[in-house]
Amino acid sequence: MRRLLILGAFQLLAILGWASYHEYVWAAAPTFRVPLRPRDPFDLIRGRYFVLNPQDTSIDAESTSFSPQEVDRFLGSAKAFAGRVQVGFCAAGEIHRACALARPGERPAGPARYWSKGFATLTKQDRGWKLDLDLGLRRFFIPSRLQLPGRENEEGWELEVSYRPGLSLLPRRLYFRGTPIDLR
Amino acid sequence: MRHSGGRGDLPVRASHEFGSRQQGKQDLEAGGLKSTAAFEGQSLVGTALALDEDQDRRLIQERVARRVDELDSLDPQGVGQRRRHVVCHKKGNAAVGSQLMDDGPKRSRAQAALHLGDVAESTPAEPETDRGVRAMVTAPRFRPQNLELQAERLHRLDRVGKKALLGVLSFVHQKSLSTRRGQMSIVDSRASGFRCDAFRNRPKAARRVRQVRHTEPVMSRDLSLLERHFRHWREEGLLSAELESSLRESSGQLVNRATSTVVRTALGGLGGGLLLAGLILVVAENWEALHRSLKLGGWALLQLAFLLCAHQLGRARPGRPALAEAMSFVSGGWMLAGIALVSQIYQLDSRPPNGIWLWLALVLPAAWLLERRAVAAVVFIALVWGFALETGQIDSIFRADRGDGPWIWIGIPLLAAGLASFLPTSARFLREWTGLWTFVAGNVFLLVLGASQDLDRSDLGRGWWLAGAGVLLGIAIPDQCLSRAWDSLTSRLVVASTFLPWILLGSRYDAGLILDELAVGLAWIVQLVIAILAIRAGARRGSESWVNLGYLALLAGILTRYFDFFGDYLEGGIALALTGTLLLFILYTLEKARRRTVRGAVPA
Repeated sequence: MRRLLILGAFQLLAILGWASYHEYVWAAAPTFRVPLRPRDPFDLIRGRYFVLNPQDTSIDAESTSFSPQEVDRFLGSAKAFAGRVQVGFCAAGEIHRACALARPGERPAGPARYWSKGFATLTKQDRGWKLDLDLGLRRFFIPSRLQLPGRENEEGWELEVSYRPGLSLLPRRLYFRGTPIDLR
Repeated sequence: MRHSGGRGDLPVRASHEFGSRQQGKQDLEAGGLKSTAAFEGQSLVGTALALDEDQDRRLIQERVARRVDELDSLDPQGVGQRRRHVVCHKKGNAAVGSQLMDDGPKRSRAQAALHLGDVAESTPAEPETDRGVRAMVTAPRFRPQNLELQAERLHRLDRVGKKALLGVLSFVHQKSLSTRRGQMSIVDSRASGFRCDAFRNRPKAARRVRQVRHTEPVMSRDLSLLERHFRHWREEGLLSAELESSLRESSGQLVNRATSTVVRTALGGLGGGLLLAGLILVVAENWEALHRSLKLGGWALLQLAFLLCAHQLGRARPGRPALAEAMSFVSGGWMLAGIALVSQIYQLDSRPPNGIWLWLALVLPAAWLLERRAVAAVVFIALVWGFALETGQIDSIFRADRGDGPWIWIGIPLLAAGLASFLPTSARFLREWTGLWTFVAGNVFLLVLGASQDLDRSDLGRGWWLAGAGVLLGIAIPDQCLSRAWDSLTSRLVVASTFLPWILLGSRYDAGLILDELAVGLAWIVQLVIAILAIRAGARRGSESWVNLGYLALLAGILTRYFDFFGDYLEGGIALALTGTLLLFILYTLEKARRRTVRGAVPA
């Protein structure tokens, strides 16, 4: 019986402790919003969810948030980079956009206020550059019966994320044109 | 078989065989008819033979016994070989069943009393006797009061023919034996209401006899199987009547208990399933409305309940570990549900293998703390799942770009089985799963490669670590990874030879390269070799399943080769006819060989 109690305590504490940590993050971590271009798929296993597709997962030279100087600074003499990075977010009105990159272990500097973990593929091309970012923001589960305020391909979808310094962003709440969506 | 008493609705069935002619005669003289004398006044046979309470039964018995002596000199076959009757009892109910059962293919000699009519019809020279015999047996209303008339009828049975008399005698003899042994009471007057007095009310008795004729015997599959074995053992002389009686009684009780257990289990399962389904539906309907603390609390309570159930069932029913094992397995799976629940509530999205590794980490301590084989199964599943996901993950250290060959497909299960075998309570059935998977997957890969040169590309990259470790474990410790029906040498040969064509092939098949053509030819040979290895190992260890599986693989190999070679010519009728002939020939030959192998298999 003692073994059983040890096992039960271990398993329950692990799961409930994990949940408690995220409760703490929700309660204490600063948040900001990033713009999305979501899709709204459904499958039998996962149910209904948004494929979040943040706007900053694919940035090119025409982007206004990411300056060519920042790209040159990050790449240096190299023509391409692929690997883990720190992604900096700068305020752009009520939302935040990716605006800077830093290598792992590098002390972040620049205008960015929040720095999170991500995976970047940056290549210089003939007419500029192309940056693909994986911010770890892939899906957002929504209840099947929830009536959304707009179609998923409309402009104005945002995701509120919890910020943990040096770690990846955690999705928290959906916004549509500045209004939070109550999932319940 | 003795009436089980109590419930009174148990179908009772008995089978007897006359011994030698001398024995049969002795039985009749010594005891059989004595017992019958105490019984016949209440019996159907007594009625059939037109006996009533006023008759001098002893006189008839002596006459019958004398007839046995006479028949001994007439009938080279002796008295009937086997006889089986089925009687259904119903306490407090007049429904009494009696029916002749099939004696099997060797039924040849004495016929039962109910068949006497057929014999009579075949002897038109004695119409009066025919009618008499048929009436005696089949019509309960016939009830002569005159003893001399009864004796005269018995004498006249000689004219009917020895078959008819043998049938009557064997029936009487069997009834007497059964009554004496307490195995079968054709009519139990107190239990069934079949008393001699009852026959004074003829229409009522007639109704009852009709019921007897139309009552179907009810016999479970187990008892039917047992009956076949009893028959065989009797023919072999291995089974005495007393032993058979004891065994029947014991097995009857067992089957009866088993039936009720099945019903209880089915009802319990149905009730539990409905309850669970209802709860799931309620939760699903209100899932969004439930607060996350309620969801997590419900998960935790259920996990505790599963663990406690596993513990308590293991203690309360040590003889039935399957229940505790099932609960342990459910609790292991429920951990994964907990991880999924937290991920859903907090919108977490990570590398898919990470969730599996977390699951493994949370379940692994149970292997030491619960000491259940089900935990090993959960660990095995987690390992296979996690490794497989890792090979498809871009950022994984085990990333495999292309794994068409058998390396990943067979290597990962072997690796998982090998690792799981080091747990304190390992599950031997994992070896059987892995052995079966290795054999089936190996055959499929070899057949496809041999026939179409597909499944040839492999660019495992860092996935080689997993595949290589699995293959090495399979070869190094086959007694911990592969089927128990395979000896170590067979296991090593199967694993090594399965991969041999791909070792020659390299990363892909190139038509025209001698080495690659050799690999394809080798795939054909290896597929047959591992089939034969499985048959050999199965025959040696007494595993009929592996023998069958090996022959199935052999058949698949032969058919694949045939269609590979002659598939283009199948449009013509002759080709189809030849194919059909070949199939029949193969099936006959292989089935004959399979039966011979199974017969010669040495039980493990």
